[in-house]
Amino acid sequence: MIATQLLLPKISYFSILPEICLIVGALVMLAMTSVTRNRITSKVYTGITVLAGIASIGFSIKNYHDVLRSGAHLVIDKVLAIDGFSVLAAILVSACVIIAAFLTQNFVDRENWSGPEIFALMLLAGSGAQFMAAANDLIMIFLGLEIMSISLYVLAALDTKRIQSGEAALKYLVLGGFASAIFIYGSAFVYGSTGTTNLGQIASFFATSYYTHNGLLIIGMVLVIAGLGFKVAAVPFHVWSPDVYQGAPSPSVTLMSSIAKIGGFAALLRILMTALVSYKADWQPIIYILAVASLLVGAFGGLVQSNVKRMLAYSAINHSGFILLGLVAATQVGVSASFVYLIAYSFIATGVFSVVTILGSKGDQNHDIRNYRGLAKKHPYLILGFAVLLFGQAGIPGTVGFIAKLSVFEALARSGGPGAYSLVVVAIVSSVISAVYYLRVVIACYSKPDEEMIIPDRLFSSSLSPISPIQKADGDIGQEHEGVTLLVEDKVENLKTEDVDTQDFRVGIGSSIAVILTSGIVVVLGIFPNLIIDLANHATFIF
Amino acid sequence: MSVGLNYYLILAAVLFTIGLVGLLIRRNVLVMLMCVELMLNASNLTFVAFASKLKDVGGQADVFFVLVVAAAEVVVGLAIIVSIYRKRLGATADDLSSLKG
Repeated sequence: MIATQLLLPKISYFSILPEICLIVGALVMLAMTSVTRNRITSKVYTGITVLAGIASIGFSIKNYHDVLRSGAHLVIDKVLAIDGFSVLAAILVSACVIIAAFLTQNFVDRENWSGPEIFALMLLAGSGAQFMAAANDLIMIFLGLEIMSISLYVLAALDTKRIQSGEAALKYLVLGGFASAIFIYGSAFVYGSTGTTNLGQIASFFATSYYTHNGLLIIGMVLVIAGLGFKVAAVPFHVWSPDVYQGAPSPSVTLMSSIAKIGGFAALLRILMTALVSYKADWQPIIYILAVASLLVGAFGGLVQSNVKRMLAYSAINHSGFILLGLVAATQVGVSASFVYLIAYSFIATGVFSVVTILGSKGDQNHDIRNYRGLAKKHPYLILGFAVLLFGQAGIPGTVGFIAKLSVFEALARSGGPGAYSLVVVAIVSSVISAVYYLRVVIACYSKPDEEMIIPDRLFSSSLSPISPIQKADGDIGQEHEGVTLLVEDKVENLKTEDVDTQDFRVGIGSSIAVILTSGIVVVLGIFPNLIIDLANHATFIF
Repeated sequence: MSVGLNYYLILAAVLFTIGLVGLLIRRNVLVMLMCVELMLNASNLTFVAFASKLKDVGGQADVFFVLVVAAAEVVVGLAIIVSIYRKRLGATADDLSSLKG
């Protein structure tokens, strides 16, 4: 008989205060809006979001000191791990939420949005990512994943004036739900073969018992990797990301590109490096293939895009490949290297999307690379920051992007596994190729408005102009059927936005803070890399 | 006579596959959401089957979490579909084709 008595675990609220701060911040905003009669300005919401984020960072730092002093520990019936990795990831998530909040303040004023939804959802998504990073149980990872994903679906749908926003959200929701279902089905198999969903207990199960029927486990493992691969947009699970990045409101993309990757990679690293580490030989080849595919598709896919947000989606896919390199190494050095890359990438991505949000100008539609021409003359400081951030993406020395790429290469080469060196070569080649499209944006900004660009808008001119009805399909939902035509209204909308002067806008204080913060971090960490490398060496898993 | 574990697992696998294939080939977004539900419930069935085999209550408790998440996902999904319907009559996957490049 199954035992009927359920014992409730002891909940140590102090350990989860970082998450609680973010959730309380969101609830306070929602409650405030429903009880007050006057319209609350976006400054108040931003203030609350930033305060909640800072409080969360504060409690995470306290947790970090606890970990350094008394070692990593498991709380709430061993479901959450308070260890170096989870605490540092929580700080990183809160930092991204704070930067995104500054940026969103100007965005909502520009677009005349009212209400706290975007800020509240950002905080909730952040709390989900923090839970994912700390989760030590497959079900807890699932819950964190869903808290984060469902918030992100709504964030993608928030721009109700544009049909593209709803379309992006629906694609994200359907494919995200699909990924979650695959993940939980895989978890069920892992549970069936080991008798537990707790990562620590799975690891000790493999350590103590000789396990012969591992067919179920391998199926489970593959499904879990596929489910999380969707969330971090690793090829071949990436098809949603260009569409979603293009259609969703830019501040949502800022958050999506950073915290979804932090949460997803934290969970993937923790599952593979703690619970399934004894099956290293089985999962390493899978991750190897994902890494190679992401590096190449990310690098080549970005070359043919004329929409900057779409191009950056491919860049995010490319970066996923780099973060996976640390996992291919499958060593503690590899985990630290992946973490260095996550830190670098999340600041660079939030920064780049901050600038893209500003350049989107009213209507959030101005994302074609041709409209970027001559921007440097009108907004020299903004474009300088943009250039620094894009150099960071390309991994040019002096920026933190270089340090990040170097550390994953080093970890992979040092691991000396089969094919490690050839993978490093693939990665270097892909980073050179992807540098072309980052530099293309910088060149566009610094060229004169009427001048032909040195590198054309579309490198392969065989594909048609951006507003042509039949376009080069790249495999998303709507394109599986041939001959799908754009609706006329969308074409008219696209044409209209090109007529107005889209370069005439004001850069608000909030956006300036976001860009200065991120580009500053990119340069400072690039010059003093020890700051993050020391931190990342503390990013270890409890085992 | 009791039904063996394998039968439950096979049924769950069949349900999961129906959901997976349905999601890939059906064009109606509502049906696609239903397919996601089918996949989630296939995993629930797997969890319960394993839990009763292992005589462990944990696996059965996990099902509640999955159910709650599935409900939340449908709520958000339907809300997004409604917001698209307001803009454009028709929300099949073929209508959603303005994003490409």
